[in-house]
Amino acid sequence: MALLDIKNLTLEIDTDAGWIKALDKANLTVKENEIQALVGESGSGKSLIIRAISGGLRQQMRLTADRLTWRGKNLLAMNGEERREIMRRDIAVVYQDPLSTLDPTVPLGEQLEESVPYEFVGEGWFWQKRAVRRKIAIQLLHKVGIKDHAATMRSYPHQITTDIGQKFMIAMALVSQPTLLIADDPTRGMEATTKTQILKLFKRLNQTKGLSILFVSHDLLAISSMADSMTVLYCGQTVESGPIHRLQKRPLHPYTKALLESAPSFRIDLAPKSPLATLPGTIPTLQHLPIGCRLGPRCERAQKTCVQAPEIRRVHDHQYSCHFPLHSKRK
Amino acid sequence: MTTILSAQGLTYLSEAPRRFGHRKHEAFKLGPLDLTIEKAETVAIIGGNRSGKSVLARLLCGALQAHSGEILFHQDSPHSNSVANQQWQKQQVRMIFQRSSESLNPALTIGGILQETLKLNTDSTMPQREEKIAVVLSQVGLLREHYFFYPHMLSDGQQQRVAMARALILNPSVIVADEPFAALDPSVRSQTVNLILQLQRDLGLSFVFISHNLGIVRHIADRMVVMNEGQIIEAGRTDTLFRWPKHEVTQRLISAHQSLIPVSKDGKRFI
Repeated sequence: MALLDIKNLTLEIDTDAGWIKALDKANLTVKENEIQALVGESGSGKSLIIRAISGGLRQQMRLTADRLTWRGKNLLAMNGEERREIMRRDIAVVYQDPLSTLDPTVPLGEQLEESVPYEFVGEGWFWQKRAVRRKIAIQLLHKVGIKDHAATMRSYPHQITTDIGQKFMIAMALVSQPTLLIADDPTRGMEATTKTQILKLFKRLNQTKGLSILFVSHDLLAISSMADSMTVLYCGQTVESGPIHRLQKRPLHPYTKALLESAPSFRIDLAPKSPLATLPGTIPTLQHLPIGCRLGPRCERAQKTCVQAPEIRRVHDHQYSCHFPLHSKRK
Repeated sequence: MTTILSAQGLTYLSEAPRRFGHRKHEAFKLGPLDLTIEKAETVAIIGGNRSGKSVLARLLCGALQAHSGEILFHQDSPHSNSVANQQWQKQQVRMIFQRSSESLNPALTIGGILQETLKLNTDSTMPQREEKIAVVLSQVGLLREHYFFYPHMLSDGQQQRVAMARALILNPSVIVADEPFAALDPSVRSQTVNLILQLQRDLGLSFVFISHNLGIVRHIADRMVVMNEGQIIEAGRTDTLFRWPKHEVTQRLISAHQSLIPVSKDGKRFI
């Protein structure tokens, strides 16, 4: 059974121009022991999906979904308490900007120790408990690759560098030993060595502890090195999803192809300094979303029918929504 | 190839803020280092955090003063007196900052931002300035109407183009860019890469850029400079460095990057 199953998730935002569909029938499934990647450019609604899962939506947002379930239980029908319980025990989220999600007035060590759940601390006097908390915190910091734990635990969020902050946030997320880790762009702006460290850590956690990971990013190189399957989002619509090797070998949606081609590392045959393949134009703003398939105006294969949103079609476990997919036999 | 810019024995010390009861100590030392930049070539600076990449970029464009050493400019100046000469040299190296969205003044229109640069550095008249701005905007692929836009009305990619226009407007020969691609989405990023390549071809610009993205470094850079703890530890042609990295730090960076590139079943790199 799928761990997390989202079907036709629509999220509308109330603006001056009326209700805008920021997410339009998005689909996502995370299976057990799987690293699922969620790819999309900024403004494609990646972070909104995470918010919808974690229940941190703003007042002026309206959420409807055919299915939004966690281990078969409907998240939307739950009351706040049950949902919080799931968020606390089973799902952990690493948010995008570590320095703004941490409390600026409390040292990092204290924040980490505070988040250690009661059942891991055990019985004892308060000083014994404190020692246990501290031990767990230090172990976690070592695990994510922070060597100088003493200095990190003493410092305040503004005193650390972004990559230490990122690692620290991952440690914070792992403290409750979750089943699913949602990481929102954890490797952004990192140098190559730190990035591989983090990716290896994720991979190791996935293999040894059976942790499922929803890896949200637009770094295709990182994704292709670790993820099992991938879901591509464009402007709030799920464009394509399936096992990663299949998507890389034979992308069916023009957007997936453009995304893959934009990374020069994937194409060793590419001569240095030759122009890269790009889609014309820019990502539309929320106020000016095209109707139907939202890639329409930028897509070179677009035809008249593209003003109607395409249905999801599937080839085995590879799903795509396009009227005129690449590599199709039909003319 | 002709050398356009060279730095010799460049050093820079930054001091940690003095705390009560602590003795003043230096926090970071750059150099001494030597660097040459040829005409119409792209030099990439790579390295870990706090390796002094940004400091070097700032030294090159004159935003920071070096404590010792000198930056020489090997190009004939149109001016004879030394003050005008210095002024002219500074205009020849322009910088693009890391996040274009934060480096553009939110209170000015795009036209205003570009006017400012011209007003401060040249003695051209208003019609001349407007004409120049129109030319530069079209060079970076923006429309004439964008003159009246405010930075927040533009997308990330367009803001990056404005930053590029601001750098280009004084007809520089070297552009220094501090992580120009870090904040950009993949498709916008390749558009920017294409723009840089095209500008280099058309105008014969030299680029110095800092990047974490070794895939792009490999694609656009002619030469690569690897920095660690304020020192240049290795420099050479991109291809050579990627194939035969000598220094331990370079090896680590490159193998980290290579390990991410998927390998297909028959042992070849994924295409």
